[in-house]
Amino acid sequence: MIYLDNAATTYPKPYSVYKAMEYAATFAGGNPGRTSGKMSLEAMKLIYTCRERLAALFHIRDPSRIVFTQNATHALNLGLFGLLSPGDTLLTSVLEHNSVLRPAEALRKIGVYVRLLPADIKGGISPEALRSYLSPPPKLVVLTHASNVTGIINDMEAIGALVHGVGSLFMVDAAQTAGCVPIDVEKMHIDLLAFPGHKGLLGPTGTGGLYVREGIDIKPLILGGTGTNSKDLSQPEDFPERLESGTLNTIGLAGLSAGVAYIEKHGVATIYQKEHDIAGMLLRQLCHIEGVTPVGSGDNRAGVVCVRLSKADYILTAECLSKDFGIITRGGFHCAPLAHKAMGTETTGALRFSVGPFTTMKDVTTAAAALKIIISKKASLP
Amino acid sequence: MLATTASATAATRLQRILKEHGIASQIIGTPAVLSAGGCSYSLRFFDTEKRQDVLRLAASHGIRIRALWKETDDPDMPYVKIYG
Repeated sequence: MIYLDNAATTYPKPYSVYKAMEYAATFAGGNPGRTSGKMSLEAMKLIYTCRERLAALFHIRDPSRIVFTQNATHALNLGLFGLLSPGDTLLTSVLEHNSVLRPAEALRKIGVYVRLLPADIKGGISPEALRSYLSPPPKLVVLTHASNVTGIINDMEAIGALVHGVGSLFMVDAAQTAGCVPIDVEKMHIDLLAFPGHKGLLGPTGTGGLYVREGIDIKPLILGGTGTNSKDLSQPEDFPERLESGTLNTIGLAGLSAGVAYIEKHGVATIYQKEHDIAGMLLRQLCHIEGVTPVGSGDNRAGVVCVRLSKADYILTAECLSKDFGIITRGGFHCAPLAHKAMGTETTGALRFSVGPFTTMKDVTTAAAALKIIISKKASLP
Repeated sequence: MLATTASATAATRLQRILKEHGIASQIIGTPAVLSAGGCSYSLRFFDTEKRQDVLRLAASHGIRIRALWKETDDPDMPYVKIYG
């Protein structure tokens, strides 16, 4: 099998991830942060190590400002609903995933003003275009670091500086970049960073998180037991417990911690360069096939390559790649309807290939050759 | 000496920072008699001479220590508050 759906979730994970999860299940079976038994303390240690590693990766000073969630969608919802009230303004973009667009629509219905930035011709966000949307300043700006459709990486240092320049809060959706593109919350002026654990960070599904800068007041979405201040019926103010009611996913977070350790060991810049080079090669090979054109352009891309097929159906092609060649891709709309509209693929969708740290040049060459065969067969049909 | 903290995260974070500075500690559940607000975690230190270092390092990293307690052999008064 050749797995090229890493934008949905990475596979395989490093072997150390599976071992860490086995260790946690076997030796850290107590409830983290609830008792002082040996297994509970071990679970606490594993979870805090995960926070520390993530903090180091994203240049976050205080690991306790990282709140664990089920995934990036959960983290984005926490940021959006935790910060915005009727009368506030949210600025986001057409390149966002439904994890932002659907909460934004729900917020719009209760009286939050929602403004949408357009995509530029390459499939990214232009800092110049953003400038005109910042007056009057929105309360919150939420933008994707890299689109899951075009793969184009936005210039977050320039964008963050503009957003902070007008005093707005800046939340970044790092679903396609956390773990595979360098992120520095200080240099990028990021107030809230939403990330999945199971994509570039190489952890298991069911993990993710939200970084919240110190001093930002955010309402919890879920209230309940935190293992602290139990006699007080009000939710505690301390982070991360304020936003982390209920028992955490120790086994998943132990796996995530091992995934982040793998990234630390190999270097996020090295992983980025490798994925960038392989995705670039794949793009060049795909574009040599008649009837295949890229969605989005530009060299500054994550490991996502989306193409239009003028002679084939995307869903059926993805199915054929899987069934006949053992190549896993994703055809369709990628939960980003406005991005497809911006790129002119709103009626047909597109076929997405996405590479990961274990993808090889041979894998993508095989995938391009397989697509060429499928398309030529379709073209020869009456 | 016991330092009571707000949570498991705060206790673990403080323990790691102190370890980097050569101060050993052990995480324990805060004794019920000291946890006025309900459950929490504490750090137990064996070197009481480090009291000022503990307070300084906690403050410089923004970690709230609720109180410092000296442990005694007196069953009627096992803890004496020395800070907080």
